[in-house]
Amino acid sequence: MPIIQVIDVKKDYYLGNVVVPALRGISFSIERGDFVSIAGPSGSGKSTILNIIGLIDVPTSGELIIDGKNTKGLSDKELTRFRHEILGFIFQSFNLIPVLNVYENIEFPLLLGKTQVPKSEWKSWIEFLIGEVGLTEWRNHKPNELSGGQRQRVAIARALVTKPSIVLADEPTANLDSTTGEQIIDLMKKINRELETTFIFSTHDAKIVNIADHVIRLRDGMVIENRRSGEDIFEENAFTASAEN
Amino acid sequence: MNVVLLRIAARNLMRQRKRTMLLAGAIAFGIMIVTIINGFAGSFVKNISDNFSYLMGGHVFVSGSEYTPSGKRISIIRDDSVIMQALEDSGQKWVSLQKTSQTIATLIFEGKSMQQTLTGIDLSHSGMIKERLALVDGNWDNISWPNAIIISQSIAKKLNVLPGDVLVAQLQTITGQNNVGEFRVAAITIDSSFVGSMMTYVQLEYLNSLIGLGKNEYMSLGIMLERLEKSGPFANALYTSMKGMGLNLFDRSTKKEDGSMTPFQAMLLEQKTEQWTGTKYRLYTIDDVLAQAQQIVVALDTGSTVVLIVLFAIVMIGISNTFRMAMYERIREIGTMRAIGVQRNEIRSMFLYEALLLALAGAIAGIILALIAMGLLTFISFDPLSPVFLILKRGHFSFYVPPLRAIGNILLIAVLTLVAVYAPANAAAKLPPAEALRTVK
Repeated sequence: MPIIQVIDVKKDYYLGNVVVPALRGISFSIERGDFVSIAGPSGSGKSTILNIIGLIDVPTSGELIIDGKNTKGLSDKELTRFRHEILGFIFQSFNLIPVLNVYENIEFPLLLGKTQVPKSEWKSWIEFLIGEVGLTEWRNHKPNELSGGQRQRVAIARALVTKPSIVLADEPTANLDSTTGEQIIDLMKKINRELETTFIFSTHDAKIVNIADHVIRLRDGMVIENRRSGEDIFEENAFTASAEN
Repeated sequence: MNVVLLRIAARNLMRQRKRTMLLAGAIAFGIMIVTIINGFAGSFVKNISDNFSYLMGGHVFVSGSEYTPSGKRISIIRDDSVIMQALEDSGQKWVSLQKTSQTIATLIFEGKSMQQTLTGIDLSHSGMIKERLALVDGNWDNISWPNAIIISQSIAKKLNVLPGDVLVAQLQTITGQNNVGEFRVAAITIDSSFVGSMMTYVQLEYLNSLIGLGKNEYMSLGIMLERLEKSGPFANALYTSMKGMGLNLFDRSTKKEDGSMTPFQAMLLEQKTEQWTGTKYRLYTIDDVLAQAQQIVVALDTGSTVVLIVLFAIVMIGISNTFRMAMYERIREIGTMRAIGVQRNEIRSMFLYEALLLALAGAIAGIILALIAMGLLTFISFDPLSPVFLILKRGHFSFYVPPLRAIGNILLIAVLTLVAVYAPANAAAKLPPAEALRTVK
């Protein structure tokens, strides 16, 4: 059973009285443990679909099923709790809490409620993650004392600390140089293999897209390519998009 | 309470140190002003009461009043054995008793004269005299002279007298006859206060002989208690006890509803309209006499609360705007926190914690500043003959901040700050996470 099912999801934004469609009814599924890339140029709807999958935005229509649960109609409180339990986030601008140090930033999600990590294991689990992202010597530093790559490593550790089923990363390498960006993607891939966490990241970097084992390519709010391990599994939108172009 | 959010709130305060210092400083300044006013009001009544207790020789008083055959009303306690028994029966404790007679006399020495109230007490056995007065000239042994008089430095200077000199006193008996007596200056005291400079003490027995009272008679009995605050319950118990002994007493509860008259003034007015036979007793406390001072304190306290509210209404507008600005500055952090799993109410709480910490820090700093300021103000010394001396403690400002009042001020500031910050905190809590994360500062 897929961990994520996106069914005919549409999202419209309003600029005054003008309706701007960001997603035009897209559908796809993601399998548990996949390393998924959502690719496409700027304005294609990558961030919008990630926000919807991340439950921080709601679709105008359509359905989203995560881990077998239909998220339609959930209250803000339920969505927040669901996010905390199931999802981890990595942001383009790292988005660390500036007043907390590395250790505290990683620890932060654990302090917000029930997680899969027993309290007795918190310390060792955080230390493990800090080691895994190579920041042992930086554990007491504040974000403004770290480089971009280091900050993104902290964000990765923070996203993983609650042992979420899914980690969403919105253009995680956009603010990094290419070498550091590749290192970050390698690290995410490594964790994906070791912990079997589903990773979904958006990017417009072709080099990074190819590392993914499932690629969903968007253009103008539609899926134009849906390829898993070399196999095209859905191309209907691609034809539509090509016809429109 | 989520400890991590409290920690973030505390650290957020330190992110913009200058801004935090300014806001906390504004709160501290307001609290300092109000605390000083409260401190002054708090000691105002106590100082007046202490000074008057000293002047009148007690905290609770019993005085007798009766009509002479000619219809003149006089102050007199002829036989105090029943009063003493009532005192014993009341079950209350007191520190000392002072029997007093008073009259106004003109003191004359070598062509110089001045009018003065003579207070007759048992000089040799009055602990209060030696405890309160500091001698500048003369000797405590002299106070055993039968016609000893103790005068203040300023009176001695005006009359140009020294210890051993004999003054002539012109006075009237209680029935209105003119009389003359001679007093020998036993001691000259330092003017430790405005009240002190007004006091002239003589031997009770000698004064009584001059004003026509018997050896064991006197005008009023002053009862000094351990603390002024005990005077109310003490007087109530003594009143019940004296009533129980069958003594004729003026009603203690008589007072004007509109507060235009002190209970003591009301009691005196009542006497003028009433007729009785035998001795009728008045029982009153320093508080009854000084009830109007209490009204001044209420006015001061009300004024300080108004100052507090007006001052903080202005400060709160600043705080509200600052927090609104802080919300926009941290909009992406809010979005991140919401994405990670922080609930709306927790975002709101985080801002409110921050406001609360700011208010508490400002309030505590304000109280510390007020304590320092009050400490410094107590060093200012006032002229003993200045009328403000009545509200001072030994010629200096004194302050007493009732702890509940201070706590009340802190709570008021905390509540006002929370009210001021609630709107921006709520706006932060209601921000949709996606919108917050999209915002570019």
